Amino acid sequence: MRVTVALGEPFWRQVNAREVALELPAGATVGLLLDALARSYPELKQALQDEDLPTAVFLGDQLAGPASPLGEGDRPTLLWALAGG
Amino acid sequence: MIEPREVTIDLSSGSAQWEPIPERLARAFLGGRGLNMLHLARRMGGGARQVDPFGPQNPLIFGAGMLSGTLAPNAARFNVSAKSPETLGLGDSNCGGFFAAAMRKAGFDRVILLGQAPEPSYLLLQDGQATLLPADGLWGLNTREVQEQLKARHGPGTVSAVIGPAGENRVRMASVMTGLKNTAGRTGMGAVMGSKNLKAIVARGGKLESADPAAMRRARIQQTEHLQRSGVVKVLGRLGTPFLYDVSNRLGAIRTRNSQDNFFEDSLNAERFEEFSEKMLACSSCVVHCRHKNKLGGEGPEYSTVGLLGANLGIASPEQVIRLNNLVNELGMDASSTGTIIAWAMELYQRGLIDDRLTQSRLEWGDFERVYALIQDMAYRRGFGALLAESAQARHQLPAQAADYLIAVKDLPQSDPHDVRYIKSFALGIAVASRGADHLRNRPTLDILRLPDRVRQELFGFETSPDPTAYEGKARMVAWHDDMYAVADCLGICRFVTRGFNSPHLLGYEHFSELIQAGTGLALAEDELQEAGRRVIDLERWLNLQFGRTRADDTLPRRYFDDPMPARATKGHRIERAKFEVMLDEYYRARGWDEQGRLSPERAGELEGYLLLP
Repeated sequence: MRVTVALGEPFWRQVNAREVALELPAGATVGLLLDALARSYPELKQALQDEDLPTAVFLGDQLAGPASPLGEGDRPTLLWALAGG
Repeated sequence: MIEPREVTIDLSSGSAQWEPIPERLARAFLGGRGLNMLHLARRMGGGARQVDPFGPQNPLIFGAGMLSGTLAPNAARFNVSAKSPETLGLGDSNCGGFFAAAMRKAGFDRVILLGQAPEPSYLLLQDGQATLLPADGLWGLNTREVQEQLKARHGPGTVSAVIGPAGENRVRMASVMTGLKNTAGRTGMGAVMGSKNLKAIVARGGKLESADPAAMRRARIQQTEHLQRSGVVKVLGRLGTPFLYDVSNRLGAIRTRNSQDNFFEDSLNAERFEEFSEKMLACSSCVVHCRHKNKLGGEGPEYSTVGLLGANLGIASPEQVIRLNNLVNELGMDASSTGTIIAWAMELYQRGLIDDRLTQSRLEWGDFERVYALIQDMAYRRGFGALLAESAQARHQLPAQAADYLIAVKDLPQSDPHDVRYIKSFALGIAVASRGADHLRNRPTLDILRLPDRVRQELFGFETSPDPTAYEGKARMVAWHDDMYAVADCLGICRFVTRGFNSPHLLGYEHFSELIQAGTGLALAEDELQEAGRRVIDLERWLNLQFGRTRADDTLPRRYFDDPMPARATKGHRIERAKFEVMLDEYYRARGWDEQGRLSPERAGELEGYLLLP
């Protein structure tokens, strides 16, 4: 299935694009998506695996966990989970 | 130990009294915010409620951090403290830039100002001497102009902390500024300075030696390498704080139109501000470099300003937000209070609680020209602006219902543009923060990071929930942040390298202990430092009790209890009153206070003993 990933701060800067598309196997989860992203876009790997700042993934308006299932046409959003300045 | 020095100057008579800071007080309160609070408590005593914040008896205290001006990473900060004209309670504000270093190099760790100068004046600190000079040709200038004039008058190397027209006119959210953007903005310390007829403090000359320069250089190198491995430090150095807007907005946690909404336009994302950025700047000894110089003649904006002079006012143009940012800085006003108070007025107008008879013209969301003019009117106390210049105290001149829409705690407008209804520990933090609604006293941001259990356990030393929306067990975490941030403020170290603020891996007590030994020669173990932080928080509580604060003041804006967040991932979240009260009980217990938030008799006795010591 094809999934379009919206890249929030600071991920989009690594690939200079606000979104990227990925082909994933049916039944893929958010955890699998992050692994696939790191493989397809090695420049994202460091930010995705930063010890300081775990990546937050939103599905629609909801925060998703690694086991959350993805569906055809989903548009997950990636952000660093920071609050405030 | 290198002996720090402080001077008390009576501006009415011009007399000055020098005193060394005794080691026992340095061990107990360190410096910066801690010793400022000690002096404020001594001057306030039991008559705190009666002290007129604009009267000669209100002390205005400038205190450099214990490590400010040394090579310690990000040790650039000083605190300004007094009774607040904005809240009528504890006034305290922390500021970066180069002034703290200049003040210490000139021979001053702390300057305590009493009385009122008989004419507009400024204070020159140079080579250990303090001289009061007439502010001829300076009164009336904005903060940029007056610093340029002072530099021209005193030569290269001159660094000043100044007020603008807002401070001169006793605007209750007036700031003290140094440089184009570094601001002691919170609690109206610029208005106190204006009431003392003091336009500026100028520092120049001298140098500062660490007790063990080689050890300090070694500690700096090691700690800088440690900090530069942090992802958040790297991103702050590249992007500054505006990148946080996208994060909060995407979550549905950006204060919008006075928190009626919780998300706004993507047009305020960081990349739109980068078009206006010339370069990144840093404060003295900084290893982060988070500050933008903008192409419109100023510095910034920070994330707080993007949120509060942008989304919170319905203004979606980055250029307009930068123009408002530069304006408040030149006039010398706190951006957080200014943005919060104008948004409050806009909602009152929207609801018909005030109308054109009071506002004198329409007051609509997103009207940049109107906001720009209104900020000027506030600074010069003209028309409707004169009412808003009263900040939260304006509620006494408005219909009673107006207070329901004010986003403030203890009469201090909320600083962070983040809507705290989602993260419950954050909500408790702004409710109990000693100076009012403020994120820099104790914000437990790590709550949203969903850090692994192991990391949280190692960091805090006790179990916490990974769920940011949980109430249970959050109070101890807030207390942990209280202590850590208080110690950083006492040392003059910036939040962006302080453990707990955006990362669990930044500088903590073990790093601070090493830096203090190298910088001052004072041996302070990690547990002694944490205890110093606790003592400072307890002294601030003691002060708040003197100001008449009670448990009822440790609360939140009505909207945060009653109105659910309207959209996005945070939709439906609010603070449940009963659960909040349980959290507050837990917080008081964690601090060793009674159920009304009062200190134990033993602790009160210990603190009062310090007040009596020479």
